[in-house]
Amino acid sequence: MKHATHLIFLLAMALAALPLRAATPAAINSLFDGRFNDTPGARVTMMENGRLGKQSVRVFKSLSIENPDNDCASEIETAVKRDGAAATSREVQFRDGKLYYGFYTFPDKNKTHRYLLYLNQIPAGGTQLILIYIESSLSAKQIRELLK
Amino acid sequence: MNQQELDRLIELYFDGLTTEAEEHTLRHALADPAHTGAAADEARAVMGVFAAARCRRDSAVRETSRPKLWRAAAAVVAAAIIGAVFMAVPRHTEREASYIAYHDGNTITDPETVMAMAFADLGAVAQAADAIDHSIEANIAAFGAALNSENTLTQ
Repeated sequence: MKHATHLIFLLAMALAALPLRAATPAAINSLFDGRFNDTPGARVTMMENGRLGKQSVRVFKSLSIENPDNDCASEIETAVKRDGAAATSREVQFRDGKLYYGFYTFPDKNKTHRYLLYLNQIPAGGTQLILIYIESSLSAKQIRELLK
Repeated sequence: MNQQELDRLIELYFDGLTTEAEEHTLRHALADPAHTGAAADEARAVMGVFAAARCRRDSAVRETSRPKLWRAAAAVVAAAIIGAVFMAVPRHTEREASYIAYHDGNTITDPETVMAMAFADLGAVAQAADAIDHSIEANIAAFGAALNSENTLTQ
């Protein structure tokens, strides 16, 4: 029993040594399961350990849909609100009762910052709905600089 | 060996005075069923018990050494697994970048194209964020103006 305990401890240390990946919030993550890959008017962009200009990002996922139908827009907005509830910081704007813009900051995971950006241009007369998820060492201020 | 010699060795054995060679000689003699008698039987019983105890002690020593070997082997295996994990899993700085995009039924893996698409999405959000910042500043300015005019009225 004592020897089994030692072995379990050794194996636990081995597992702990495995690099732990920061996790995309669940509802948002489900939107990148491939369902929009072939949707007309939709664009799915994903990077891992890539670069945005001079800045490196660990994870970048974006979903952009041109003229989304109501069900699709509603599903995405619901996912954003659900995961956004766990954000440590949020900057949002609503128009005509719909979420128009959101900038969410999530708790760090494994020393990696996590952000969610959302824009639904439809209430403002536009045509695009955009969802962006970023994991990076960049601060919120630096992310905002990227937006300028 | 004659009976006298046998009895002498048995007596020395029970007194604890036999040398190793004498004990060996005695054991060999007692193995011969021709040597009979109470003293020989007693010596056989005692030496047989001692022999069995030594055998059990020896096997106990052998058995306790097996768990040690097993533990050592298990520790080596565990260390090998840990080492393999460290070698197999790339460190963050060594992980390869991956770029992939899906658009109009096409799969795009060219990093430059994917990055351009990412920047296009960021750009659209940036415009909205910029407009919101301006509207917030405008609202704050409007509040300030309203407060100032109220103060003017109340004075």
